Amino acid sequence: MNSLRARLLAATAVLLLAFIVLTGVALETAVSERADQAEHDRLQGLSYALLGSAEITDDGGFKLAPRVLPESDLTRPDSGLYALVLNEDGETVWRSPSLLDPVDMPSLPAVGEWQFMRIYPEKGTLITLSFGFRWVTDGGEDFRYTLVVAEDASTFIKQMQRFRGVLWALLSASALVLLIVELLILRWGLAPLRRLARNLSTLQAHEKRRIEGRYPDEIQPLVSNLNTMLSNDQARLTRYRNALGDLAHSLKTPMAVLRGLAEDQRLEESQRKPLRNQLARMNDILDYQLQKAAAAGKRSLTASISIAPIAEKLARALTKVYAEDGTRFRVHIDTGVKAPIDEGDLTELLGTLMDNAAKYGNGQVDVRAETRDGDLHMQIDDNGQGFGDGSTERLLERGVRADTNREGQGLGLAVAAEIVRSYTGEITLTNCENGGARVAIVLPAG
Amino acid sequence: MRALVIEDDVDLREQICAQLRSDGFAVDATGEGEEGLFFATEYPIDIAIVDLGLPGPTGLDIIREVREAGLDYPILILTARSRWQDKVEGLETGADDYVVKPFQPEELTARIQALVRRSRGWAQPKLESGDIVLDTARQEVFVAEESVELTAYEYRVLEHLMLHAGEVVSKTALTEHIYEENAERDSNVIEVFVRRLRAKLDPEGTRKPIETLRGRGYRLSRGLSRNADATTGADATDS
Repeated sequence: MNSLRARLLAATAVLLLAFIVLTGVALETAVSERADQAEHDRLQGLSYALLGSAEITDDGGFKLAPRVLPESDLTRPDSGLYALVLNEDGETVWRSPSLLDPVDMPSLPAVGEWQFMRIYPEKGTLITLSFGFRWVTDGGEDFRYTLVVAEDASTFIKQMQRFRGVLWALLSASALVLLIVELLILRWGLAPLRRLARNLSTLQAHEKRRIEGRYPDEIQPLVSNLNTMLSNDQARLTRYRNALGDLAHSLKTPMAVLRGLAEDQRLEESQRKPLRNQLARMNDILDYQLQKAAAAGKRSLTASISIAPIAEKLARALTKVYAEDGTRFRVHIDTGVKAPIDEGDLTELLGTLMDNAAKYGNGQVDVRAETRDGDLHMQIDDNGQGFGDGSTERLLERGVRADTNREGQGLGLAVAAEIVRSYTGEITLTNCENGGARVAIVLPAG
Repeated sequence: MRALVIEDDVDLREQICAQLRSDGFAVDATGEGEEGLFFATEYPIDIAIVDLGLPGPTGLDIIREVREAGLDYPILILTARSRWQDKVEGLETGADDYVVKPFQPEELTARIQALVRRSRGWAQPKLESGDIVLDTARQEVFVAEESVELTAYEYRVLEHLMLHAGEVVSKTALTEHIYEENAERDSNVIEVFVRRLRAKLDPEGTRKPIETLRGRGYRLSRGLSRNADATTGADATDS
């Protein structure tokens, strides 16, 4: 019951069921009462007609000539329509030719009263209307009789059953139709929410970090706020990086001047060396901290970017830088490989590692990337001497240098490791088949 | 060899200029983007060193303008921003290499000389023409493996002629590439430099490495055929 649609549908279904049942019961009751009333009226009319043509003999005998009977059904045996007259003692004094077996009436009405009831003889059901009356003869004798008119109820019951069947069938059909319509209404009504959910979940597949499209008034504020948040987030990161860049610029230019002074031959070597070393340390600390601060890291709703164009751009740039060595950068990445990672972070990560590979390799750098189960796997190989034994873990630690002759090596890997860590990924240093160094990175999808 | 330095920090600019001059370059320098752009597009520059963080037109703007103007001399960017996005942007815009501040002065020199050589199609740091060898890294000149002492200007003239070996180089072009913009110029001095060079490179006057083409300029012969002779000659003297 955790979906809006299921909740609404369940509520509607219960409501609809209650409504249909109540409607059915009400309709059935009304119709059956109406039918009883009609039967009552018909039997009453028949009673009046019978009474009108009846004759009572002086000794209290009841006479009714078959030819004067108002309904031909009364004369046909076992026709289903019957009439009989009972005397004060409940004995049958007259019965219509249609009635073959005697009928036991469980109760009789008082004089001048009508009694409408169903009785259940051995077979079938009879609807009866009884009327109690007195008859005063010319001789002044007073007789008390009860006229009973009865009709076989099987037709009536059949009709009612048919009506009931049709009634419930129609009601069930309309309930079903209403449920389907409700389902469609829900689909249509909740479509914008579904679209929003879809857009949110596929946001990572888009290049732009923004929810597109127009939504209903109830949801639009949410979407707008979300978009504002996403773009502010990006703008803040850009501002932050620019500020860090300015900081680097304003610190590193003076450092460059000092570095130049450290080469001044008028200074003693014993003075120049510490100056150089301290400047190198300052630079490393500054670089490491700036790079770390500028890394965006894992953020929610990050747009996915294609890996190949960035790797290729870096390869072009680095080919220029390493033109002297003739280093070849080969990018083996399908254009479809995408991952939700910040472009700046990815450029930094690949740039650092490809630069390292070129520095330590022997003219050949291979970059691979693919997605497996949503995780991004990247691999940067060179054809150099590979990583030495045992020192690989230390290389990933901050500021450790494997080779003090080359500036920035230890730092480069430490910076890369920092970025990978900010995406809760893994970085491993191994050697590839040809003996060169291999840096393997896994950035998890979620 | 004429270099342009565009760097807004005065101290750093002067340091780089001093270093480049000691490496045998004629150097023009400025700290302003506008002026830098003018120099970069109007002067006969052999290499430009451009700081990316300039006030006014940025380093990137200058590089873009230079490349749009169809100029293809090498450009080295100096940047304090060590982020790859900045470096890649500079290289994609048209720069050929970068040096991140703070840098080792030797590294800057090495990068600059590599760029200049590559732009002339030389794969080695040594320029060779016949038995004349010019080591750009150490700024030394050898004739038949004998070291020859040259003044800074003589070195610049020879370097320029060697970089354009086989081509006719006019006196004006030579002047422009060996003098800085605000230096006193006299194209007659070029004749003096060439005469002295000839005397130092070919004291016996037998090989005549620098031809004079009247009214057009000078030409340093590629010396491919004479290269073989020179080698045998050298072997002969050794043995």
